[in-house]
Amino acid sequence: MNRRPPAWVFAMAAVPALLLGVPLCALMWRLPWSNLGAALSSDAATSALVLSLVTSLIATALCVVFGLPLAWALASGTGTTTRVVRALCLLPIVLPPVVGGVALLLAFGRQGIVGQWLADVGVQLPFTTAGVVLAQTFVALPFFVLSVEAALRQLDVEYADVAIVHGASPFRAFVAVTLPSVGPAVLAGAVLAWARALGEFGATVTFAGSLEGRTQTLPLAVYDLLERDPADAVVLSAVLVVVAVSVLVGLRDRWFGVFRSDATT
Amino acid sequence: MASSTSPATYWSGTVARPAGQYSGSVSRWSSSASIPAARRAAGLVAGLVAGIFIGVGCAGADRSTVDILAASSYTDVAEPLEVLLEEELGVEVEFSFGSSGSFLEQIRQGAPASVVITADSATMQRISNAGLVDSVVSIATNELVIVAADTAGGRGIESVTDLRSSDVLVVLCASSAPCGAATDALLEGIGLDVDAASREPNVKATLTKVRLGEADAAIVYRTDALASPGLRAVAIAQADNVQVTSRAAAVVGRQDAMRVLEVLTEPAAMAVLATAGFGSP
Repeated sequence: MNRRPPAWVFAMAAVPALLLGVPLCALMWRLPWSNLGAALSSDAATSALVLSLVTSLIATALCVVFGLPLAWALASGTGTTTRVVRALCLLPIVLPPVVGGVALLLAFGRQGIVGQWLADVGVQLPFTTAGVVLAQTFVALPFFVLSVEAALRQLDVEYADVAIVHGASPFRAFVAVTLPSVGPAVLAGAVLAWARALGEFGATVTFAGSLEGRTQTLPLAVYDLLERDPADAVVLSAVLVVVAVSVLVGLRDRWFGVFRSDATT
Repeated sequence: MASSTSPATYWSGTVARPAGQYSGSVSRWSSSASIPAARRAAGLVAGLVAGIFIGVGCAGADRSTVDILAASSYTDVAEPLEVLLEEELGVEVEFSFGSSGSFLEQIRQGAPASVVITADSATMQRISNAGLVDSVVSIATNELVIVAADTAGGRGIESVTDLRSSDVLVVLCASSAPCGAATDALLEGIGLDVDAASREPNVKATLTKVRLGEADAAIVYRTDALASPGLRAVAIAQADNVQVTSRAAAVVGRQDAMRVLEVLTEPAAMAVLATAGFGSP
């Protein structure tokens, strides 16, 4: 039984709760219900919505496919390389996304250190939908990797060892024994990464630019609309909120399961 | 490069200082009944929130700084203008930049600006129609020009029709920004359909993509081309070109704005603007 915290704790707790809640309520309050349909069916809105969903889901898939091996490697390593790579993984979380976009340009841009080789073989990333996915993956990957790595580190390695002793390959043991027990963390990491990719703005506009139907994702469309038609911008913002909330609600059991102390052990 | 050309021109107004001290009192914790506790909690929240807002309000009130919200095309001319204004007025002058298209909403939401300078007259008209500014004056003119990078695609550009080539990677301003509206008018006027790789949020972001060599060419203002000696400027025929008239106005209720407007229309300010490539209105 937890003892009830003192009153001042609730008072302090109300401030951040209001800080998070009031802007969202304001957004919904100002929603122009009468032209909701018109705002949502405009070309810019539908193409941004489709583009955002497609790119963020591809980015999430990339995070899972490449993030799992990275998390496994990080969880099993202790050396300097591991520490350096883990620091690299943290960087996009701390870095302002615009700076991430500049870094991406300097690396994968047409004049970038990697990009000029890519250009020679005809691969162009800036100003393309692939560039949007790359920017989203760059900012979202850390959320997936760190979430899964933390779960892997807490895991009792004996079960996997038993599987290996009984003749399973390390890969087989990982897939059949380890992975199922960190399932909730994988899911939570993927959802976090997806949410981050969906909301990505700074790196995208810097690296991939903004063109309707090709690189103008939902956040970029909101920013553009804010200057032309603020009411439509509110509608698109609300769409982002609704999408995010429905995912959180849909996954709430498994989602919160990750953070319950009895679920991971 | 980072600050002036940041593509995401987030509103960068005066940072609100947090409330210095908190005036409410926290009585010693006791395991009293929950109703008084809840009431005390509510009182504390009210005190805390009020304290923060009063603190922020004070921080905003006693400034002797004149804040000017200017179109991003003024980024390069801001420093000499600031020096001139500070000399003439004897107060601190602070410029912040963004796309003119975002100013209406910023002023409506209470951005701490006394004077607003837009890149074109249509944008100022919208702000004026919303009743947010008065005493609108024209302070400068600008026109469009092509900037070309020293890249394979950029070297071949000699006229605006060359922008149609599929070998040239072109970026343009978004239609919501004045430079984009002017660009649309220009291309429509000569019946040219340019396949842009991106429509950037403001003129500086557009320019940056060419400066970095990521795009071969862009349509920007003459003043931007002058401020980027590394890029080749390709003039647009006078008959086709679109001229924009930059306007300044006083935000309603700002007494300190009138003197700024006076100085901005004086010959000294015109000379500063002319050096940067602006025309006289």
